[in-house]
Amino acid sequence: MRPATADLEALLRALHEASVELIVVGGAAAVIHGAPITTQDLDIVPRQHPGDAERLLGALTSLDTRFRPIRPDRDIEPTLEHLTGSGQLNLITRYGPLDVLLRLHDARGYDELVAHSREIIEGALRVRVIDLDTLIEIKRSTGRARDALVIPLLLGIRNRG
Amino acid sequence: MTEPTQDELIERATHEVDESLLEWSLGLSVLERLRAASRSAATLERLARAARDR
Repeated sequence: MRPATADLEALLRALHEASVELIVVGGAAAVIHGAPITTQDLDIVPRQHPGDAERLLGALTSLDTRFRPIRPDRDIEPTLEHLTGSGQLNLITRYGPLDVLLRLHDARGYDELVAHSREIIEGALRVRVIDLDTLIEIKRSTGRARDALVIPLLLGIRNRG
Repeated sequence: MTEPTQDELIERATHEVDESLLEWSLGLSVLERLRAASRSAATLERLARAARDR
């Protein structure tokens, strides 16, 4: 049974333990920056250097991952081919929903975003997250109402310096 | 009178953010924020499912 909402900590730990290089974006990035919101899934932009897709696939396999939604006639495991493309993969793991964004809506991937991210280390947790200014810029540019709703909170955090 | 743009609405809402809620969230560690968000989402999902099943 895979939960309908993500255990963000468990997912991030599992990906870190599998040495997957990634940038957290989306709602979880807003949470990490301090926005008091909930999010159902973890959005990540993985690095796509040689060997990275294999490491990510190993982690996804160990997390019993499938494409969501799963139906009796649709029970699809992600493959290397999926992970070396440029799409956005809506997956479900044993720790809940995980969206693997090989490219953002504006076509930027890990290599374009890494200079706009920072690494956070807290105890055993090590996570790279998109920086606050870039997260605000991304949320502004999607044109989606649910992204616009988070922007005032992110601006409020930024205004506090 | 023209409708406010999305940017104007966001700017207005930024001044109306619940400061005490922000204060609380920023007072948590990153791990605590992740746990709080995950638990809130799971609770909302359970409540939504219970409402659907009623």
